[in-house]
Amino acid sequence: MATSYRLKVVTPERVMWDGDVAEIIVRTTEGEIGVLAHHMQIISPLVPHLMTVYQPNGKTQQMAVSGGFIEVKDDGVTILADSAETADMVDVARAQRARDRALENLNLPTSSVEVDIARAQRALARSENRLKLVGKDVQNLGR
Amino acid sequence: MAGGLQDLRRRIRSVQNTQQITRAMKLVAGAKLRRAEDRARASREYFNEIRAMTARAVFRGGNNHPLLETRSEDNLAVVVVTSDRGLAGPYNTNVLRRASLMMRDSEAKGKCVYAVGRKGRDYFRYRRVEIAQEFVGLGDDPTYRQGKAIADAIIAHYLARDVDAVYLAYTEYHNAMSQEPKTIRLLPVKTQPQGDRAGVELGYVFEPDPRDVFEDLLPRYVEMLIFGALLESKASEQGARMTAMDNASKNADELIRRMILLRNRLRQAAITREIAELVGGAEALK
Repeated sequence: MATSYRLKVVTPERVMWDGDVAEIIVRTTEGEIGVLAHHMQIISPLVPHLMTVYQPNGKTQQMAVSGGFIEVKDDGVTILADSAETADMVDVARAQRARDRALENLNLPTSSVEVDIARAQRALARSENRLKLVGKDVQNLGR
Repeated sequence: MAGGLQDLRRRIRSVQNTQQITRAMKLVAGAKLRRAEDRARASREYFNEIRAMTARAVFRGGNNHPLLETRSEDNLAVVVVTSDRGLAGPYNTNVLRRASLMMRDSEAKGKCVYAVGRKGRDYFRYRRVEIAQEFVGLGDDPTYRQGKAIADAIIAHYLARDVDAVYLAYTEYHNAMSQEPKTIRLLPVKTQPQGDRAGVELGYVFEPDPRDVFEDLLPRYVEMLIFGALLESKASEQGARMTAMDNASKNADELIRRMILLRNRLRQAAITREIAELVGGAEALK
């Protein structure tokens, strides 16, 4: 009775993870789900979030995922992420800048186009996600 | 006769100069190739996974999405990926020929091209093929964002029914010596049929539902196909250029070798003649 399964996290730029895990927790558009071995087959889009991986040896690993998909199959789980980073890969200065820029765009007068607001919100979510991963207290960073 | 020698010397110098350039280009292409090759290789996993995932999802989720429905191919579009610069051997010619053949053989009424890369744009502009949109100056390291921009434009045109079917012509990278021009279907999304019908009965849940999943998955599928094609083509371009420049340098070597032989022979002949004249003159003075 296997209690671990194979997880693959793939981005257009590289393979981020390919190995056995005990459990993962990801956030889909419908909410957070935990996936253990023998989970039912499912396919769902992901929102930008911090995904947690529990390895069979008890270690945990967090990754900042900015959107993509999770597919649970009989032979394992595949996550296709637009991007995925571990804490040591995050470019903090760049994430900071991205957050500032997104906030700036969001604070513009409402006359600007609606599409840009949605885009700025997504950019904000992605950058805060990355900052959270490196341990920044996003709530108290100020606006 | 001395004039001939002078000309020859000039030609040798000219070929040597050209060879310096081809050698330098070969080295530069070689360095860029390594990078482009790594990136193409790293992206293949995602490329394969998203193809497989899309195939499974479409197989189980049905055809309930505008990007999936087939309509009569009245207006055909081909996305042609070429380089911005030449001197890459047969690289551009091959993929352009492939795209041209495909357009010639199609029975569509309207045909147009999305030109990625300056070479393709110039080629089709010269032949008066309609260019729906051009994407030039993508640089040596194509980004996902650039691929997405191309995909967005194409999907918008497709949904507006400006085009009914879109194909993608690019060059697949095998190694520095061999690249293969390819055409694949981009839109409507058509996946390889899956063999195991048994899988359908087993639970396979779309969350929230197939339409929402497709709404996210299919545009990404198109983006990735294009991004993958950009990376493959870039690696192919550098490989083709490196090989072409290597051949050019070798040809120059051979040319120089022969001309030097000829030059030495001419010089020897001139010296011999001068000695003969001297000896002849000395004899006459006796």
